[in-house]
Amino acid sequence: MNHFSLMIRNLTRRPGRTISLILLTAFLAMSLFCGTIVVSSLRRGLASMENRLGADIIVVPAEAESKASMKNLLLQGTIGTFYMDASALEKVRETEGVEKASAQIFLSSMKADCCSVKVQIIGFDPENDFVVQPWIAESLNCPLGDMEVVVGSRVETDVGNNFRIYDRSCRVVAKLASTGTGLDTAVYCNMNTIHILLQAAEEKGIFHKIDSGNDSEVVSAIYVKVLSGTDPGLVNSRLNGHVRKATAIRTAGMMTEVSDSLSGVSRTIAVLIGAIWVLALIILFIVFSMMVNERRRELAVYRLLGMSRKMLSGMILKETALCSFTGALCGTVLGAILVFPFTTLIETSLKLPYLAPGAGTVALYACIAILVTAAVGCVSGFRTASRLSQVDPGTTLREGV
Amino acid sequence: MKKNVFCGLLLALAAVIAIGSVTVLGPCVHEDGSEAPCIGAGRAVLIGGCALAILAVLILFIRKSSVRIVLFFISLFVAAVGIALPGTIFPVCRMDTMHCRAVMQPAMVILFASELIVSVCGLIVEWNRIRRERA
Repeated sequence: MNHFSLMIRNLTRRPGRTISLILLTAFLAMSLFCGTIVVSSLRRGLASMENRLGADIIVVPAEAESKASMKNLLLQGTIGTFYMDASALEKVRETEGVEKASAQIFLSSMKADCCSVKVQIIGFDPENDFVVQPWIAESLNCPLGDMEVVVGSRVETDVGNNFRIYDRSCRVVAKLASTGTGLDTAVYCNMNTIHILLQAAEEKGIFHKIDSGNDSEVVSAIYVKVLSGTDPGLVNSRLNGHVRKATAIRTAGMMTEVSDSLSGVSRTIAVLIGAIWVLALIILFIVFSMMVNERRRELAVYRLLGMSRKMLSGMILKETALCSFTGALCGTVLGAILVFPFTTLIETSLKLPYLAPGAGTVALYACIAILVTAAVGCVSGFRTASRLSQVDPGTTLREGV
Repeated sequence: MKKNVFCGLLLALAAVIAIGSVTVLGPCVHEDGSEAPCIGAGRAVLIGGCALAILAVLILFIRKSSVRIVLFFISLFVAAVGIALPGTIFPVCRMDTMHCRAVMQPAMVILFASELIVSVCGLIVEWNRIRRERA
């Protein structure tokens, strides 16, 4: 019988102990892998949101409940249908320190034919836009025509299909890459299309009235880029004073809030993983200590049969390594099964931008989780191996009589 | 006791599928009371879960290995069909933020896949038992 088959026999002879060790290490690997994936996805989501936002200040109608509405719209795709007079755009452009300003009009669909929920339709001006256009350019290399739409990654339709909104048919010309934010569930079109859709909505009895001004000339939000070297805070104050019935929000503040929430979640996950690891390590040490007493006589017999101390400790270490590696592998696979199919659920529950890492990064994290867990299992078994190899066969067997 | 481990697991998973399909793992519910496109998938999953539960109970009470093998084989088939129920055989909502896409479909695929693995294990155990008895 060679050493490997002896090791396998030792493990299968006590299935309860072996399964407990495998389960314990699987739990360690699963917590490490899942935690790393969630934290990394949150960080990628925040980076993606920062890249996509592109503006320093957003001007929205005062009744848009300022930050809350915009943050919910960006993070969770909550439908925002607030309007202000389009003349606000000119006032914003006239404000000192403003380099670029671009307006967007938001419209909520009724139940779109893609889905049984409403989707956010965002109309933008391709000539002046600096927020959506660079992002759309990654998927579409020609100008966005009338009655053409670009859809977010989560809107379930394909390029070339027709998309019906308020009984008007729009052709899908591009699908955007995932951002991990609420913008993935939006539909983008040019200003002519959004005005046609606003008209169609009115025909269906859905109005976008504003208190004053021309109802046909409305905007929902104005994205502002400030001149380089100008203090965005100062421009923000000027905009708040200059544009009536509107609120200017600094995106940096919004990003800081999201970043703070993300840090909180990351910290909680880190503390939980730490607690799980400390508990599991204590249990591992207890299990191995119990094993010392349990296997004393068995190992004394091996010594009598001619096994050296080195061979004995090597055999125990190999047994531990095999159990730890199997557990780490099972735990990582189980973690992947739990995390990846439920990405959308995690994202909506956390209410934070969430963008899962690519296959290469996931594979790297999986390897790290398996190696770290297996190494920790081996280290905790090392003390047991050295103690058991010191067993004096004569004394141990006499004691047991 | 060991003989019934796999049918016990089969029954527990079937119960999770059946109860889940009418509670937290069920199809979307519209506030206006209208029927969601995924309602059929939800009903099909419930029927699949109940069918697996009945099969598991039958396996639990039948002692003849050859009959148990046939029942495990049927449960394997039902579990394989169950994986394809939400999304492939029956439609679900098309936007992936919907409850049926975010929760029901992945949960049911995992649960039915687990049922399939348990059924395969049960089949192998019963098959080995028959071989041992014959030997």
